[in-house]
Amino acid sequence: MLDLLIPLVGAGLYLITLIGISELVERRAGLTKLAQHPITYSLALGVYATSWTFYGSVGFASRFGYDFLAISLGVVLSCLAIPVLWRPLARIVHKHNLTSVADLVAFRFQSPMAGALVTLFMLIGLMPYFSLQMRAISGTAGFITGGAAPAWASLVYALLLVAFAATLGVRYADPRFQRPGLLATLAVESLVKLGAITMAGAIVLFGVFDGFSDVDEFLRQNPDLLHQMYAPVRQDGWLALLSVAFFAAFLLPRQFHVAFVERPSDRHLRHTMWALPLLLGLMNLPLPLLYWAGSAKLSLDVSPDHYVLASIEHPLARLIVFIGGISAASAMLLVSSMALSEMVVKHLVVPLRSQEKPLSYRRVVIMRRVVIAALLLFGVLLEANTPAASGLVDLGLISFAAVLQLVPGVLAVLFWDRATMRGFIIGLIAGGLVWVDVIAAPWLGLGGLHSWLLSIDPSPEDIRTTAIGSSIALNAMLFVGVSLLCKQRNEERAAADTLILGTARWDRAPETADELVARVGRALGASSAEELIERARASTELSEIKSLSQAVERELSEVVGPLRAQWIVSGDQHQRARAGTDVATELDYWRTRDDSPPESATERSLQLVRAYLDELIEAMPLGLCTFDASARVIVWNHAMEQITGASAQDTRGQSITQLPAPWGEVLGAHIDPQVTTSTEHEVMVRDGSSRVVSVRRAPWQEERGVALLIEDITTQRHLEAQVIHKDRLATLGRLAAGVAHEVGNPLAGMMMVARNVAREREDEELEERLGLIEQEGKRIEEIVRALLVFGRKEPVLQPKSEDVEFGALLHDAIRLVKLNRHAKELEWVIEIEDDLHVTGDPDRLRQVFINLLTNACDASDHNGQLQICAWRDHDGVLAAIEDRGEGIAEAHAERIFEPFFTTKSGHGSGLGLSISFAIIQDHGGELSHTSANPRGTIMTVRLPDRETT
Amino acid sequence: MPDNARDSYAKALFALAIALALTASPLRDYWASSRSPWWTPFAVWAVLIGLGAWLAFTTGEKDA
Repeated sequence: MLDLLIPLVGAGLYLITLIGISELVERRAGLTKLAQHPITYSLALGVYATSWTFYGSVGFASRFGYDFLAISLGVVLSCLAIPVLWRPLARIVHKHNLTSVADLVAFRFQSPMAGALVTLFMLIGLMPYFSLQMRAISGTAGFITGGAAPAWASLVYALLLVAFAATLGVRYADPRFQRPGLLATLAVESLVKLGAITMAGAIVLFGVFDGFSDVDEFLRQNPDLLHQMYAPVRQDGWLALLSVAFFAAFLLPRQFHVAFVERPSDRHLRHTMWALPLLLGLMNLPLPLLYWAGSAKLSLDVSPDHYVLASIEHPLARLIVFIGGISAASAMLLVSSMALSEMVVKHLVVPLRSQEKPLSYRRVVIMRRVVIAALLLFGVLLEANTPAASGLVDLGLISFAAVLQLVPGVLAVLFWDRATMRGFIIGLIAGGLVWVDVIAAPWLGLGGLHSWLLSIDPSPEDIRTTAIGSSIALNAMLFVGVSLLCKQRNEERAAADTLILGTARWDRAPETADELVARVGRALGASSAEELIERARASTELSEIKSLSQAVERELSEVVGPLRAQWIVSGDQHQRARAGTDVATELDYWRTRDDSPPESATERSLQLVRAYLDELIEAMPLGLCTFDASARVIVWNHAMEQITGASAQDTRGQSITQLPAPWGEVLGAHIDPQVTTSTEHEVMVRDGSSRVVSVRRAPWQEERGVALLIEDITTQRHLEAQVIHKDRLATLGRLAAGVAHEVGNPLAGMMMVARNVAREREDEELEERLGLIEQEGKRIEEIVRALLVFGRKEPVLQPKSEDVEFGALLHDAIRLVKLNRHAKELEWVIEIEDDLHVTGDPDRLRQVFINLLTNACDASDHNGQLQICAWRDHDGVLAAIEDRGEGIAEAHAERIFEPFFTTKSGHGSGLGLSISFAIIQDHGGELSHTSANPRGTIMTVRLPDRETT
Repeated sequence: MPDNARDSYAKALFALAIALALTASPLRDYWASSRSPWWTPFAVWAVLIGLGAWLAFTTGEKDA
């Protein structure tokens, strides 16, 4: 047995050494660099392994076999989820200068109440964990001194830890200090823990057993031991422990602090994926050997929690293992008390303090020191009053179950933008009440409501499965349900966008440095405010007031939390709701500011430049829209409003996906920086018409967002199509004229020969056959004539230009068409206004109407109706010919004016409509067609009124 | 999300799925059998360390 003084001095010297290491690291640049190495960071995360792992796991193994591994294996699984969960959290924490889960939740839900509730819950939830560490140290201290140590000796060890944690914790309680020493201290503590437990394992392996082969032989002779170890792994309790540890790995305050707040850079998380699992694996490896040695080989008559020490007989080795236990406990107490003190001061003390008294840094640091000491002493007090029957792991599980209640809220921070503060608070309170009733109260020996409501007697198995499961299920259910039922506040929505979509957060910065000093001074006092602003000024290269305000906000955030820092800097102490949080709102704000009179020459100049640029953007004939990095609309100019029909007021600040159809899709295709070429899109606009727009991405700095230029090229494309069409017609015309000429002459000769032969030979049969030749020849002649007309329609012959009595011309055409027998069977409805005059070639115009009327007759059924109207409107003289035929198929509508296109199988050259179209165009008019109701076609001719020509 | 980050995200989900299959699915009954050597859980642990190392060394510094 050791003298009481030896472990006391040994522990004291060890803790002083740690303080020395911390000092050394922060003074020596070379050591600082070493302290910021990724492996050091991963070792520091080994703060997860506390007295629970060091001593309690063996005790746990005695009851639940290999289930003790789940507490570390859950962390290993969590490490594999680093890119999915840790990494996004780390980015958020870094970007918004958050320092705890309470900060995260308060910021996400824009609610100090949410932050306070989380802090309170963590405070209550982690006290059993503090108590666990104290019990482990006081218990083992008593054990190595032969149990003869007086009760006060245990308290002395505990107070030694308080002194250590308070000393280092106080040093790091001031956010103005850099903290490489903390990581180094924690890494050294991990190595000491690992070294001590490995040494204990080696002593047992080669001292109690005779190497690995002896262990195997021993287990072969005692198969029940292996069965007892493996059986619990196949039960549900294993899964519950894995789940709890998975989230505890980064949500426990000390883990959150080391993983996210102390993280030196991005690359550090990468190596944690293998280094932390390796560390935990090595620490767990000796534990089964220690358990079998204590329980079966040596049959020790002590608590299994003490097997680690009891299995070793050598006093020095025991002292080293005891120091390892001190290391495990002190690391946890140090970081947890630091993290909790920050949370308590920010979320409980600062909000409750009198608003009249300014808050200074000195006061904040003092508050933190007091809280650290209070927490540690309360842990000692709680340990003294904890039921002795509680194992170390039972205490730890109570705290882990508490931390698990934060999981729904934290997952919502990362993935669910619809979550609300009310849902979070109600879910947390409900889950918390179940935790208190079913898990925490029984530990304190209190009967809970469940004892008569649910008849549950919470054994450790119940805590692991039913209690943890029911508390988290109730929490999550209420969180989701209430969130869906409650309306989300604007500021919550904006914060969710900021965290999930990464949109830039913006708060109304003060306009001058004096105003900034005044705002911060109201909260911190004038001298502290000036000091803080000076420091912020040194930390930012930009001198403009907005950058300075953001730097001040970052500094303030460490003292009073991100939410209050935001309110202080924005002068929004009364937490007025503001929906806008992005660049669009910022621009609106600047526009609003322009209404106020400028105060200086610089401001006047800026105002002029801004107004000039605004006018330029608005006057541009091209549509211009810009998007920020998260694809939210910043600029939407007047031309853009005209093209899309969507107003700037409605679109500014909206996500591209929220733009009215089809613009989200059309513009979204150009958000990708790889797309640099312009593309054309045919879109249906609000009035139902079809427009062709060209979209082009302007070259711009990618990080600034995207600028798109949109041009309505519908008219341009229409004109181009017309030119192409006319060009084709002209080509066809020249071709047709050439063909007609070449075919016409031989045809005339052939027909003349045929007529002569028929006259000369009075053979009836021959005459009949020659008659057929002449008949077909005449048909070819008609086509040739039509081709010649088509070919001549342009510059070859200039149309006559004389006054044409339009009504008479129409009646003339009707009369000629009515000579056809089929036309006579139709019902003709004629409504022609008197005194309609146009200027043009009456023969050619007559030809047009004969063509149109003939087509209408051909399309009409027997006894069908044909309606001819002519009238004058402000734009000229119109004539409409409406039939009740089948109508023009959609597929043909585009082609009916093309030469040689016909739907009359067997007859018709396909030139009538194209010639008519050309003649009307020659007269400066238009020929168009629409579908009649209920069926049929309306051909409309519009000619310039004589008076206008 | 940049391509590299998306890639590491997918790899992490893949590794996590394997790890969950080994440790949290009925598959664990195979290695947690009473006939397994005492060190079997640590062999599974070593596989998970290997997965972590694979993730760490195949993703960019800023993606994991």
